[in-house]
Amino acid sequence: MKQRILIVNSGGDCPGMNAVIRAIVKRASRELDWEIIGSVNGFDGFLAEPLEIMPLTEDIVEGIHIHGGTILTTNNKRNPFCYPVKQEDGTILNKDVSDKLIYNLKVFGFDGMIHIGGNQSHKISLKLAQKGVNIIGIPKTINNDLASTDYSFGFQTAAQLATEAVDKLVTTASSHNRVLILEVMGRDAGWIALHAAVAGGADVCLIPEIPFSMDKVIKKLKSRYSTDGRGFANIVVAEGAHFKDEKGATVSGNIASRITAALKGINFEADIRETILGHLQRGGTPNAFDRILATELGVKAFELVKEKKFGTMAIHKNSELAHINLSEVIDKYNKVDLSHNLIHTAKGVGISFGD
Amino acid sequence: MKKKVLVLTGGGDCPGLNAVIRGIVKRAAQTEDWEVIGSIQSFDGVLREPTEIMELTEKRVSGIHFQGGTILGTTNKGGPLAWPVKENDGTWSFIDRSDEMIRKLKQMGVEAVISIGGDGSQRISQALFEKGLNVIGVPKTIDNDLSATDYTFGYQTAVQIATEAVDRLVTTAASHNRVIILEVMGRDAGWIALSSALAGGAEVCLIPEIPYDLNKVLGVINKRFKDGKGHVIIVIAEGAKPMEGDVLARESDEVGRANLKLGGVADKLLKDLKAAGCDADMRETVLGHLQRGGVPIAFDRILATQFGVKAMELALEGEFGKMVAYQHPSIVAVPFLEAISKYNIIKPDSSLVKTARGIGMCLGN
Repeated sequence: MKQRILIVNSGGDCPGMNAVIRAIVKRASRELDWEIIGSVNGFDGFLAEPLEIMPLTEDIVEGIHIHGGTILTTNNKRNPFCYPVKQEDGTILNKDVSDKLIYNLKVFGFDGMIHIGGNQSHKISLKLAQKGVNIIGIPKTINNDLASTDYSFGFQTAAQLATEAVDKLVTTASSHNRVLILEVMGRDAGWIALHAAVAGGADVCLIPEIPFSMDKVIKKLKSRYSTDGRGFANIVVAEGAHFKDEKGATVSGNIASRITAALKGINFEADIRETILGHLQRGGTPNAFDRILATELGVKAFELVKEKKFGTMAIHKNSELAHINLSEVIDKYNKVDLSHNLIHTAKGVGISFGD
Repeated sequence: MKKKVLVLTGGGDCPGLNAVIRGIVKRAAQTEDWEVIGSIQSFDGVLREPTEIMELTEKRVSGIHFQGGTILGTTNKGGPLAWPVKENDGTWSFIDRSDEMIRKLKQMGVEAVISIGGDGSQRISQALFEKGLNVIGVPKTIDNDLSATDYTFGYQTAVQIATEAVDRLVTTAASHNRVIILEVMGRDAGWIALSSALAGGAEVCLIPEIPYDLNKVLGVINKRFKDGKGHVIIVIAEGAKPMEGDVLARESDEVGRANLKLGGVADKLLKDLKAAGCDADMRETVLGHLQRGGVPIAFDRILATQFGVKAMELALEGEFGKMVAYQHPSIVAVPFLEAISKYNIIKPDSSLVKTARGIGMCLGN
């Protein structure tokens, strides 16, 4: 009988997930005795009765690497350790159904599982590994906020999209003498904002790692306008950025509109417009960099299963593929270090961080 | 009077050159006492009479970072060490004008020179540095073939363009049951070819680092057609060569051009496959200079901006004779001698090669 691997992808979608799935399947098909099966919609498919699973053959994964999203569909609200179960009276109760998951793996003859996900997913992976599941993790985040890997797929595509947005907004801002504010994703890390600001050529970049002072932002904006009101300015703000006197709450939301309000509050003379890039950053065709990285991680993950190096995650470190114990990756975030060269470069070309 | 830094771009053009120039100028603008000027077409602008120099103000460089090419112009021929002179009999000879140029730069009040270029330019920079010129280098190559730096700007843009070409060719090949061969740049390194083959999903990739066996390629084609997947995409690097045989290259007929011209490998492969009995419909596409132009992607603009700022800071610190480089996650400075001593070619045990083999790609051996 063939050995079976279950693929589960969870968390938000991310360009490159399909390239990972394709790489696992193509690598497995180089061997005679492995088969790959995907759980539909995160863990849901494998916990459903009957199972909702998808046998993944080379034919099914052909050409999927250029598509965004995931053919398995995903879910960022499901955790087998705290899973919504419908009671007889119709109410929903969150229960630990991890034993059911483990039972299903055993009954349906699975030898291992590959879990593609972000930080929350790795916590689930670690707990499953501790309960004896043969699991391998693959990092997935558009935010570049995982410390264990040098690069994560999806990030370069998101940074590229955000950069192209800055490109477009610069021409509008300069034509109308406007201040244009672009709000991008990133959660508690400012990587997407920082990359888009440097690549696109913004004047102000506001990131969670550097709480900003509105006075400093205004000073920079004023320097962009001549006394007759001509000039323009572009601001890139990360969704998790916050004012200096604010508590550093995780993604407070509406940061772009709160900056607009603050500028209007002091009667800043220029027209101000805001753009929130939102889910445009998660979809669409992954760029070459992300497809390559995703393919590399997929191949590596299969090989970790084959070598029985369970309880680990495939990573890209120092220009090579490697693996790391899941226990070492939990809650290790990669935030923008203030001594990072990109901060230095940004300040070098005159970008203000409002500090 | 302000101190002057002279910027020039040499060698083939490359997406991101303008972002480097902008990075230098914007960094200099934050100092009180430095100004930036540019020499038109590498060192030629300084050597010509009258000189051809461009003032590089912040206003001049505003928004240039997303344009391909270089606002200073470039050349991959000649240079101060081998300046072409036409003799009376119509032949060309080459003279060393470096001492004259260094004197001229001194008269112009140039305190530092930032030379953005490939390995040829870095060699010229080292020679000029040995003669006492204050030179700083910025590496430039779409081929990613310098080992002192993890990446060079322009490379990711080239890979992206080549990948999009593969994406398009796949749909045509699949619709017509064809074999399509895509020839990409890279000189003696297979980085662009292997990366775009991986990202685009080619079945065969032939690179200079692994001489190929024609029969292996033929085997893949026959098997794919037999299995009913009647199409094959082959990405071949311009420097790829068969096991029995040599690189297809010819001497350039352009005056003062040192590098051999590569190219024609796709055509040769197509004919060789036909001669070996391949009866599938075959087509070739040579991507050529599409790989060097256009808007640099975000990755390259960021790297180029980092290089520009760092190069200007080396000038401020008086650190000459060095080239800026990216060694993740830092931007560092390495001596020219170290920078030009080693090429970065694909190692057979690298993760890229392992990944390619892992998904079943044929590398021709």
